[in-house]
Amino acid sequence: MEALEMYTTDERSDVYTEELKLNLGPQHPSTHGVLRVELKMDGEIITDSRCDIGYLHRCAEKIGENVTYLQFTPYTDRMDYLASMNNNLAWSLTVEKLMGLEVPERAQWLRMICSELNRIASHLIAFGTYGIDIGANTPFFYAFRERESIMQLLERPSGARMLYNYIQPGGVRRDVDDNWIGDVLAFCDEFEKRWAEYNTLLSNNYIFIKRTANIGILTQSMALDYGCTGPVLRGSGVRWDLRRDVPYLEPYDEVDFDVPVGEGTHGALGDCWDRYWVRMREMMESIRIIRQGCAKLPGGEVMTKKQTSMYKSPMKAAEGAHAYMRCENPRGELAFYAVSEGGTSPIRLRARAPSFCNLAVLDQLLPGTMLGDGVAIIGSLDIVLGEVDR
Amino acid sequence: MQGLIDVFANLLGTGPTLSMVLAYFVCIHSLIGFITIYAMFAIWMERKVAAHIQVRLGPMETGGWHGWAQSPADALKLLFKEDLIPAGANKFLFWIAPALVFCGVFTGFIVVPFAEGIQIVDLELGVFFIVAIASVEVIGVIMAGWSSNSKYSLFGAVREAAQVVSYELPSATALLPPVLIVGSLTLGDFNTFQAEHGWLILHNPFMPIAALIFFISSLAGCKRAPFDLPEAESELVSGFHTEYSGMRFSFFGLEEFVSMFLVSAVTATLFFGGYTLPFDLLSIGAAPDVSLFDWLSGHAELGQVDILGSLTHLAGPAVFIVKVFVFIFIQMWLRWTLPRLRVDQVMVLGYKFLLPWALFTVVGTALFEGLGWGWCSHS
Amino acid sequence: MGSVRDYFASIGNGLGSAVKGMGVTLRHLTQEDTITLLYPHERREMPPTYRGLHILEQDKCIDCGLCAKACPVDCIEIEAEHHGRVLEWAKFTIDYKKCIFCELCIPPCPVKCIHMTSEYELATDSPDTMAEDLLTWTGLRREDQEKLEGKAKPKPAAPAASGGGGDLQSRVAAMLAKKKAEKGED
Repeated sequence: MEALEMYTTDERSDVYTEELKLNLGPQHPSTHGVLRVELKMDGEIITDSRCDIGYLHRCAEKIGENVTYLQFTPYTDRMDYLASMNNNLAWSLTVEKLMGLEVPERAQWLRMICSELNRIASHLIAFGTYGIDIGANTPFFYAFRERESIMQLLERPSGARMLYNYIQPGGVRRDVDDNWIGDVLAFCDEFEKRWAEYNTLLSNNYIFIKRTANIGILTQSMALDYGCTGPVLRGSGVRWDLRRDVPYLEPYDEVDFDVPVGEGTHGALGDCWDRYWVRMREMMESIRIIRQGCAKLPGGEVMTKKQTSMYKSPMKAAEGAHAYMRCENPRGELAFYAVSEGGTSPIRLRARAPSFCNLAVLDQLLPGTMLGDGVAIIGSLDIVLGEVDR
Repeated sequence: MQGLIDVFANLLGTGPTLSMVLAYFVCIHSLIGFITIYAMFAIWMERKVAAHIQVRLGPMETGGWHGWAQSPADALKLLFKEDLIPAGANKFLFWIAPALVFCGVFTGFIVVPFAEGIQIVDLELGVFFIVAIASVEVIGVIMAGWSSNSKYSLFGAVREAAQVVSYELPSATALLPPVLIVGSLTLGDFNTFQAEHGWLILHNPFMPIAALIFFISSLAGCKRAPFDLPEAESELVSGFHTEYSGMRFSFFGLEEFVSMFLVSAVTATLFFGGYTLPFDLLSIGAAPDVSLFDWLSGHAELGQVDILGSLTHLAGPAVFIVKVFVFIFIQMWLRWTLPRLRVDQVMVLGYKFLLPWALFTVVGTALFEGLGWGWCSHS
Repeated sequence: MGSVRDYFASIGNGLGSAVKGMGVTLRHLTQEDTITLLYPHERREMPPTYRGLHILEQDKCIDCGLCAKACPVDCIEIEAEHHGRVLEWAKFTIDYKKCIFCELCIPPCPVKCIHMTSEYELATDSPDTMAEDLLTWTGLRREDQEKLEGKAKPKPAAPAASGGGGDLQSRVAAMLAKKKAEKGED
């Protein structure tokens, strides 16, 4: 990647000034991972920026060509490691489409409940770390207290706290225990009270609003041009949510929920505060979905019979089959494309990561802002480098 | 101070100059000792307050009871760390910057009155001296940022320069109303005035505003949140002290807590009564007519010493330190609640909000004093 | 006039929201609502499904190799010699430098002899000790030798080379013994 060009004299004034080249990252407290942003700065103002990614590249797509379909599921966990259930879901849906597997009803509802719980957990991290980026260190700990409850809930069916490997092609790995639904509903009650507290502490704080409103305004046309999805797109006013518009799980058709969009409450439409507020409201919508899911959860099997034999010998897809399935992740639209030639592994596996496209607008949003605003903008895009680099 | 000099002259039989030197030596070193122990305690307190606000526990292991030995352990660790100086750093400035920063703040302590007479020197220009000496640390911070040969440190230093220099204006202006009422800059006089006439913050409706303005400006001067831009962790890694490690780094940390104490001490003395209790209960902090020092220096017999008066005299520092810790606690509480302001917002706050209102309180207080409308007004 | 109103409104907003925020933090400061556990003095009870270190019921294992094939990172190595139905064990190691604790090795087992326990403390002093030997014995046991009476002379049984797999495996073995005792009690 070429370095940014520097100029050495400001012809407009008599003073000899030089632009400062500053590297934000790859080791930096607020780039949300190993991201390097090369900045050209004129004092405090950023005049140009260039994103440099690839520090977390782990060849996931190439590995996918060498392991079986089931063995790739743990690798999807590690792409967007904060929304592990949702990643597993996208991959499982792709494999099921590729092989024509039927998923039992109970498994679909459990998938929905677990995905929504993971969405809340992921948005809690976005909320907490955004507070730290702006300077408020306390909301992060409150967010993690809630996240701890979610992780303990999700640990019971899956066995792990963060990289679940629970939603597998054909259904889910195992059924939940008897008290799980009750505990999930208790968590929902607790969370609603805490959500009000987060707003008092951070969302409605005057300093926070001054730091995030009218900053990083992403217009609708730019968001659509760059392929942004998720809260980044919805913060700019576009009401597009795959759960409602292209339902990839049948239960989403049977529950009621709203899709929050940014409304320009404290500044222009599409600023950082709008994106942040979309995430906050999405957490409450997820609580709604979870409550309805728990009430309507049917009984039955949680894994297809075909899959239980898949554990013993890897399944093969038909020769020439290919499938593309997309899912609404907390960060946007995650999609997998798998092409099969009849073997136990796909010959091409492509992951379309939401953070990759969301990050692309950064080079357009940063110039003209100050360094503090730059950090606020990166935080509001809520990227995870694991899926940017895969 | 004179009492102590006489004590040494009497007990050791030394001449006036030598006993003066000894007296100052003892006082200054006990003050340094007190400051260091206070700083360690304040760091532990900050960690505990932060932890409990953040729904966690803070230090619990070191030393057993709630990790009280964490600060001394950290200090010991920092002493043993490798002393790194970045390549290309200006060695002299890098070396002198922490010293300048710490000495600038510490020198302000020589005028802080802990009780009547328990003060290193009661300068007639007390308030003015504190305001002036606190600005020496700015030079130290800029030196630290510049000499580190790192762009992040430079950012921190430049922001610091802009911020602290700007906030000295409302800070000093907000100290004028108490000075107007009391009519003197000597810090000891504030205490005696408030013992007679009640706390200055209640004196007229402009005083609470002035106290608030001074408190907020002093937060900016101490580089505490919400004004912690110069060391904004999430933007600048560590700001101007990014490249410092070991004992040099601990100087900056100490400086932050010591200046918190200094600023709280000024607030407590000027607005909240200093070492006296409200309505001058028990005459706390007032020197007795015949004290232990008089006995030790041979001016009075043991029977004549006013024991009760001596005890209330020595209770003065306790009351004072309690008040100071209330303000330090408020500063910590604010740090963990509020986000950080951006640098241009800091400037807007300083020049467009704090400074005009500080001038307004000065004018208002002058008006009230001239018309004699203050509560228990000064004749 | 609007900007004057904005000026005073911003003072009001600023102070008001700061005070409300301080109220929230003060409430948490005064409540004892921490969820922190003072590890290692207090530990949390793991759910029974927790994916921790593996344990092998060696007498049930039939050396089918399905767990090794299922592993996405190829961290299981198995070596055993088959004498008809009797197995002479040489090696069953899981390389914990590679294991990602994904649990894909558990479902394929046809005799359900490999399990994941709730043991998660696997820090060791050096990477050489990270490949954990799950065997409780190597070679043949006395009962296996008796079964093979008459066939070629097998080597005598020996306890596993690393003394039972070291501290880690002895802990895991103790856990298995405890599980067996519980099953025996039921």
